Parts: sequence; C-alpha cells; structure tokens
Amino acid sequence: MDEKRINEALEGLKKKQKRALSRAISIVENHEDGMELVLEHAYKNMNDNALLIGITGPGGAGKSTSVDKIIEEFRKRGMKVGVMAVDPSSPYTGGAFLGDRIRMFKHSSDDGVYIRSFGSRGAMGGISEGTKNALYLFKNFDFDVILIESLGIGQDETEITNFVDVTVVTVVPGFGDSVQIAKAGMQEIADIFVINKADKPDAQAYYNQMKEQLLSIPEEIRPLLMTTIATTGKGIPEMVDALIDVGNRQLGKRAQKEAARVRHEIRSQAMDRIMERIDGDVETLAEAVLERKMTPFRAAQMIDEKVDIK
Amino acid sequence: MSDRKVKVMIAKCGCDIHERGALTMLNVFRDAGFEVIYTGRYQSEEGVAKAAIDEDVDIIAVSDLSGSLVIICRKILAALKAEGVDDIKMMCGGLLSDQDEKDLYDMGLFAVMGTGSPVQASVDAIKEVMGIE
Repeated sequence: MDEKRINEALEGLKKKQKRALSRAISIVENHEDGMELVLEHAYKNMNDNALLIGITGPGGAGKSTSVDKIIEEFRKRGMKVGVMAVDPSSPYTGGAFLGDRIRMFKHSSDDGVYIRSFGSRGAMGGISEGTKNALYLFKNFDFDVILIESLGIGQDETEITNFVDVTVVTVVPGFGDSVQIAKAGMQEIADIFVINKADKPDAQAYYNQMKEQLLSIPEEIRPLLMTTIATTGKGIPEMVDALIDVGNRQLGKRAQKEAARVRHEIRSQAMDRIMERIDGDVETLAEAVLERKMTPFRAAQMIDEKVDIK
Repeated sequence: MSDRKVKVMIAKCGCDIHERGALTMLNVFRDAGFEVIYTGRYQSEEGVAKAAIDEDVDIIAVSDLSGSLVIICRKILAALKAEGVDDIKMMCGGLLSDQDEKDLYDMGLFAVMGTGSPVQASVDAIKEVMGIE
C-alpha cells in the first residue's frame, strides 16, 4: 500500500480539493491497495444535495454534445456541475479512447465544472465498478448537479437508473422504428426521452411515432418526450427545466432506489470476488469440455458444488 | 489486485488545424492498452493543464505542426506548476527543429518525436517512463 498516496488523498478530500478528488477517483478506479480507506471516508462524508442525472442512448446520438450544452445552461443558472463520462474499453487490449470530453472541453478552465472520463473496463450495463465508487467521491463535494453520461450500447443500460434521480434516453431520427423503442428496457428506464438532431428531415414523423407509442404507458409514469438540436442548443433550456422539475418529483423515490442499488452493489462486488476465485477451475474445465468429455452445463454444476459459501 | 491503466491526454493548443498526427496516435495508444483522452483542437494551455489534473492523467502528449511546440509546452508546464502539480509527465511530437528538440528535452519532456518517427517509438517511450515491461 502506498501510504503517502492514500493519506494525501484523504487529507485533500477533507479539504475538498479537486486535485484530491482526481487522485481518489484513480485510486478506487485502479483498485489500488488502500482504496477501502478512501471509500470508507467517502461513504461517511457524502451529502445528498446534488441532483443526479443519467444520460444514455446509442453512440452518435449526440449525448456528449447535449451534455456540453446542459452544463452551459446549468452554469448560467449559477449551479456547480460534476460530470462523469463513461466510454467503452476494448475487451482485447483494455485500452480506451475516452472521447466524450472533446465535446465539453471548453468547460475545462471553469472552476465550477469538474469533468472526469471513465473507461468501462469490462463493465456490463453501462457503468463500471470504478464509476459507481467514484460517484460516492463526487458526493463528497458541493456539486448542485452530477451528470453521468453512460455507454450507449442501446439495449443493456438499465443499471444506471438506480444511481440517478432522472434518466434521460437520447435517441435520433432514423435510429430505429417503434419496434426498437418497444424493446424491453428503453421505455422502462427513461424519465425523459429526448429526440436529438430534430432538424433532420424525418424528425417530425419519428416524434409522432414515439408520441403514439408512449400513449400506451399510464400517464403517471409516462416519460416526457422532448426534442433538441444539441449542436445549436435549441431545446436545451427547456430540457434543463424538465430535468429539474422531474428530478424534484423523483426525490421521493430516492430511498427505494438506494435500497435496490445497495443490494445490487453488494451482489456485483461479491460476484467479482467469486469470479476471481473460480477463474482457475474455469480454465481446467474448459479443456475437458473442449475435448467433449463433458458439457458446459455439467462444468458449471461442478464449480457450483465446489464454491463453498458459508 | 491493482489494475492500473496508463492514462494519456493528447493535447493540441493554439491555431493548428493539422489533426492527423493526433488522431493516429489516439488509435495507436488505445491499441497499446492505454486510456486516451483527446482535447480536440484549438485549446488553451491552461485548459489542457486543468483538464489533465481533473482526469489525473499520467502523461500529456502534445501534438503540434505549426512549429510552436516549445512555446506550447512551456506554457503547459507553467500552468501545471501554477496548480502545484509536478507529477504529470510530458512528451510531444510534430514539426520541430534541432534547437526545439534540445530546448524541449531541457524543459524536462521525456520524449520528443519529430515528424516521421515510427509510432511504436512513442508507445515504447511511454512504457519505459511508466516502468511497464
């Protein structure tokens, strides 16, 4: 354990230094020895003042560009903004191009904005372990808003909802017809649907289609439908109004969401540990399966019997 | 069980449109297993320094083909110093003279790549300075 590094981070967190936030995030993201100390500190001292907003949707829908404009709007209203931008890591090399920040780079020299990029590092469901832990660290600082922009795979990003007050799903005309929207997941997670690139020729038709689709959802839980043109900023002030409004109405659900989240987190952390423990057995049994000596099902059963949880 | 990744920020400052080098290195670094952040073009040195601190990067790699590497790197280093940061390493690549190269090494950059340098040389330089392999 690098005690100096950990202690410096802890000291800095107490003084609310941004530099320490940066360092502490690295420590938990890298699973460095001593990360428990940092996390324990963060968990004890976090506040629930910030409005948490999740933005998801397919790649190329304009999430980052929207976030850039949303930051601008919140700043105009004098609010401090923290941003967590998650991009995919390569499953082959582990490398990643964290490209979201390019769209929001002009906020780098604004002290009221803190942007941090994350690689997904093998996570499913849009946000990595590192991102989740980093959120606790963000909550140690006085942000009025925390935006989480997550992986836009399109179909498996439901996890984000338990971490935020408002979930925005950004789509674009031509991305898919009502069949895509009807697929499980998308509708259930969105508090607000945003059709970006609303200046495209088929935007109005897409809007009508979506509107009709959403009518099948009971009014109390029906997501809002909005349109934006992120590149010009059109529709962004209205979107921010809606974010604040919906956010305030969702505050009552915080306890319920937290309960779901905590369970989920314990489960996923435990899974990680179990995965590590069975890695060796998986290797050995894989060979037997490859030699047609047993089925993958049987192999899984053997591992299950062997993993002894007291 | 630490799984630390090398984090590199590719930076372009000032009025230089030539982006091909930066975009190429972005792919090369990603494929080398690094996490890469790109600033985009036309940034200020102070903005780059602040972003590098927020992102807690290990390395800032400056790309420039307008002949201003010395000026840009000096300003970024000054901006880092003003923030009290001395543990972010810096390298650069692009159009430079022999004198520039000497000046840049004197400033403390760990690698200076002229045009035509093989991309692998940059990857190797980063691995060496980070003590990998």
